[in-house]
Amino acid sequence: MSTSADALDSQKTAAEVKIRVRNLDAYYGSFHALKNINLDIPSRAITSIVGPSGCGKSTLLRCFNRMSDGIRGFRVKGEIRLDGGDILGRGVELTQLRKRVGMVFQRPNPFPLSVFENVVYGPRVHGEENSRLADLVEKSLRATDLWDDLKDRLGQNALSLSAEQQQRLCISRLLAVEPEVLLMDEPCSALDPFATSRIEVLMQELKQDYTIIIVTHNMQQASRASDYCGFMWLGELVEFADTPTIFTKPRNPRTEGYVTGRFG
Amino acid sequence: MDRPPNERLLLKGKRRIIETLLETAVRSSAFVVIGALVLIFVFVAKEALPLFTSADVHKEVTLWTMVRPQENGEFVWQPVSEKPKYSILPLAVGTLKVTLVALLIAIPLAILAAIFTSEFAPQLLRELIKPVVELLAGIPSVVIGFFALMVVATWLQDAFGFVFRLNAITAGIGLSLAVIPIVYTVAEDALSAVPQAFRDASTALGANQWQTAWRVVLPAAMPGVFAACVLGFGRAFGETMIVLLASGNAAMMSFDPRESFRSFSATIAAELGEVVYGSPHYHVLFFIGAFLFVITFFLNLAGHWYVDRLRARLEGKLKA
Repeated sequence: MSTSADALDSQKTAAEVKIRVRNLDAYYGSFHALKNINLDIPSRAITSIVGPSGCGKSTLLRCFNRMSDGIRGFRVKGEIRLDGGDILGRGVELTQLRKRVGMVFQRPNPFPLSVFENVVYGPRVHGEENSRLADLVEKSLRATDLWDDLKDRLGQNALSLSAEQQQRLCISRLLAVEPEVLLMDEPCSALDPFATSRIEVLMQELKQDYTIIIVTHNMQQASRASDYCGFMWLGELVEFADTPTIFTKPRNPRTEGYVTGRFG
Repeated sequence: MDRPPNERLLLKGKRRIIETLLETAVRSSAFVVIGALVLIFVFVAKEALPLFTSADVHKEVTLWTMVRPQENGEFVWQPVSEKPKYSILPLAVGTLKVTLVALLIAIPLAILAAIFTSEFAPQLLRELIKPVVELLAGIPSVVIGFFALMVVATWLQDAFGFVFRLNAITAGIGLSLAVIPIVYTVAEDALSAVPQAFRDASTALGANQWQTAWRVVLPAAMPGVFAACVLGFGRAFGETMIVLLASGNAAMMSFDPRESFRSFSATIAAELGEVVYGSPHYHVLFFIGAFLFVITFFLNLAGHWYVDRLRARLEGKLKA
């Protein structure tokens, strides 16, 4: 009983839509991983996607920056529009798409380079002028509250930082390319509870400027940290609504069962 | 006094004997390898020693006369003549010359090929290229030397009109055929071992495949790639047969790669069979052998040390 495309199109949503997904199907070879997904991701808000392992939530996330393109046998059908522009077409310049739609991974994966080099990697790749780099580094590190800790240690190897600092650095590195959408694939699963809550605070700050989509296993995290929430089950988007609705009065019994912890 | 061990946890009877035997066998084979290495070095060093100690040898040659300019300001290696001349400088120059040419060809080629196979080639092509290059390592060096001597030399002479048919460029190309598989294999392993997470991070930031390979994967694999180059150097430096066949073996004091030369290793191979046992010439040849051994040993040691440092830095254990 996922929402149909027509119903979504006729709906008058208050929030501005950043990403519009219509009739999206995805396959790994013969495995049908995403089944007719229809979804509007609101701009400058945090949207969480929850569901049991293997339900397709990461696959969906990776469609937004086309990270799965290189996987053999992977195909998508349907439509994804970013600010109204199609991103699944053949002519789409992937490097430009990924500059606008950035991703933070499950395990912090800074490059084995200095803090400075990590942050300037993206801007350099996109041809940013050297004169702007120092400013970008400060701005990006300030945005993730790393600046005060690291400003005297910019030459230090990023792998010597703590896991939380590494993940913050990965977010800084992403902010430095000045994206519009941040995709986060279980960004806190390698962190302890304190670090997790601090990253959640950071997300609240970032949503002023960015559209954030977060995939998570952690129900509490979804209910605490997101404005909108989608529940996925076996490749289908079962229900999508604002987070309080999903957690207090879900329409679908499967959603209710999952969010209350009866299964999943 | 130790507490008595729990009886039920002890191995008993036949199994215990077998375990002990196996352990001893494994342990001793490790020592046999090290022992062989030490004995070889001791033997070579012992035969080289009279160059430093024997008055008889000193009448004909000393370490100093081997490096200083001879009477008319020349550097000549002519150990078998009326008045034997033992300048090792032309040999050093020749060895350096050919090693340099070989590495200049082999290292870029091998590393670029390794980057291609690990980062760009589709799986099928990769599974074809790797074993084929590794097969190249199995070609006996005498075959490569012969190929360089007969085929490469002719091509190059036709193409560039070299005065000397056999020269450092010819031998260097032959030698690079022996070096490429070593550098390629080790470098490819290092590149393939770079965690996928680094590539993903780079791709997700909007880098293309080239930028990812060049700016992330290669730096991350640097310890292994550097080790590959050190191994390649060791092979080029000590390789004998290819150089013996394709160098022309003229001990000329010339840095020009278009001229013939004679290397340390080829000198030993060519002369040791005919040398009078115990003569000054004999001891000089062993000195050259010991010298090759020591150089290679310390280069490998320095290479190891550097690789460890690089690795520590990449893993964040060392402050950059």
